[in-house]
Amino acid sequence: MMTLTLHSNPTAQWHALVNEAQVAADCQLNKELESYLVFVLMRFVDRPELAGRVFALDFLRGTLAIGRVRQTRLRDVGDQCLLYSGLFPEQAEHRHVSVHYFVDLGRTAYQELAARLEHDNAEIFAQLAKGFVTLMDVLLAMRTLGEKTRRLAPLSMLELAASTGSRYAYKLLRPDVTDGQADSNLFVDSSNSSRIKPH
Amino acid sequence: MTRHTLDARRLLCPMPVIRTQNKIKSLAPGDIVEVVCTDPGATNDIPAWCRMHGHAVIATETRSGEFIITVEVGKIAG
Repeated sequence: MMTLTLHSNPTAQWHALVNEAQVAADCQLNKELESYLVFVLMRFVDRPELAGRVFALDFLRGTLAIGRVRQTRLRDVGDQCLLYSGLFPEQAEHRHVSVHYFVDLGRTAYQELAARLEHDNAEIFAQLAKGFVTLMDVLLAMRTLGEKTRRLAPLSMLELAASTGSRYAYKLLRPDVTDGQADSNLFVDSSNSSRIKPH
Repeated sequence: MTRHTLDARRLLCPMPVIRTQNKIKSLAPGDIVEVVCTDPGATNDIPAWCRMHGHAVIATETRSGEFIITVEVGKIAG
């Protein structure tokens, strides 16, 4: 039976959902990343036009722009790639790319921001770049809360685990293995391969 | 009732809203907080967040490229 989570306001509802997903994904975001994820979800929940975006073009336009426009575009690319990789990973297949493509593009956008912004802003975007796969795992767990049929197919899951180092995908493939026992050969250090590669 | 200022300049959305939320958590109903920010997106995001949470935006002004959003904390903080 599905559990209804009711809270006094939408932000609290989203926080509760993100917390539940963190438990399911067996990971813990720090408070700032958790809040960032909540507000990204709230910002894009009523924006269906997201489905039509061409992220590579948006990324290029972002890198070619200057000042605030550049920052806004790169942030949007990072946020949207995060949502795509975690909430709509099957879209990768429709676009003839792998989920790793969204991870690389989104992480690169956040890294660009972290490299060019100052103090507080740089810190949050550096955290987002570093924790991109963990954030994706939380969203992957969120989409299957109470509805296990929405899980990716095992082969897609394997590819996700191998290409991005997703602990959640690995956990679903090998539910009998605890996190500390995960086969390290399966994972790549995707934080070191963060530049976009042709697909 | 006390008056507070929150410096959210140079922060990109949603960071000004996150900082506003964190600040308001520590305030009492009726307190006033002036959020100073530079991202124009915050002028939509902060009032929208305030509406959802029962806080009142009592003034929004622009001063030499900075946006000052004055919020009165509602009964349910957070």
